[in-house]
Amino acid sequence: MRRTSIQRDEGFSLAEILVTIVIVGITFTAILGGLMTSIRVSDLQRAEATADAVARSAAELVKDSIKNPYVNCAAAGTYSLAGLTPQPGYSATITRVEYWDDAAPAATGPYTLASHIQSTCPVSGDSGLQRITIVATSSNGQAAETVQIMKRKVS
Amino acid sequence: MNVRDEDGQALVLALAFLIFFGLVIGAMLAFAGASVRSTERLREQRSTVYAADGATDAAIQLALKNSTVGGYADPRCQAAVPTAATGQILLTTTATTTDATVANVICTWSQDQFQPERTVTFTTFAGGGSSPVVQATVLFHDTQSPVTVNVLSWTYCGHSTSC
Repeated sequence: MRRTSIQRDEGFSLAEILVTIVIVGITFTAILGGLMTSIRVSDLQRAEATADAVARSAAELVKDSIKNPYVNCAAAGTYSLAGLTPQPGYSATITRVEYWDDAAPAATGPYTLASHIQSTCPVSGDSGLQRITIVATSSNGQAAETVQIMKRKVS
Repeated sequence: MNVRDEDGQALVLALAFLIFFGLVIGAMLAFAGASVRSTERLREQRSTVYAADGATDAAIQLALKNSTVGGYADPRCQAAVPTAATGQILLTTTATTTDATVANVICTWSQDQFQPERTVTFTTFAGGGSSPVVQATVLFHDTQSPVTVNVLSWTYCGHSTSC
């Protein structure tokens, strides 16, 4: 009876302990790797979502005909983003303003707008339609979102 | 009870531990993946709406400057408001941003040929989708000089096949 009790108190074998330590070590390494990946992806996703929101807000501000009335032959710095209050570490800038050349459509067939957008204001004057490119970026360079809008002169 | 019964139990526990945390990591990565996909979807939605908005504005300006656009029986437009992205396209945009969203505008011509002013409905499809994204009904006052525009309605169609 006493002998059986002693045998039940036997510990794990050295081989079992070693295998267990190796498995647990590998598992913890994988867990930490997974956690780090998850954190990085989450951080990047948050940065992109925030930049996206900043880009949208800037686009709405530029499109707003009251806060930003249409300016003939406007340059990149003409329209104001002063009312924009992005989260710290994020900013939005108007990088480009392009102009419609006012070419008339053909009698049939689709009008390809891209063929009639030019980088300089038409010599004949602004035709009432501008394509504006806005870029929102995070200061750490993690995220950059570009949005293009059309601004039409309200007649 | 035979003492041999406990042989290898540590290994079983370790394997159970491995499986459990493997599932936990899998769930965490799946969660992060879903978050990334939702951000991507949000970006696509933004691109679609801005592309459609821009194309519609461009079509309005085109019709403002060219009084034949949307006039009675204009071959560039069609008689009824479209519910699918088929039919004569009035205006198309080309993607210049990385999202590569293209928008097509289809117009309907004024029903009354004796009406001096044009009421044109512009229906815009974007991103290769078959459902309309934006629909705008616009009144062009051709009797005024210069021609002026009244946007009578501007509807975002959502996920429906018509606005």
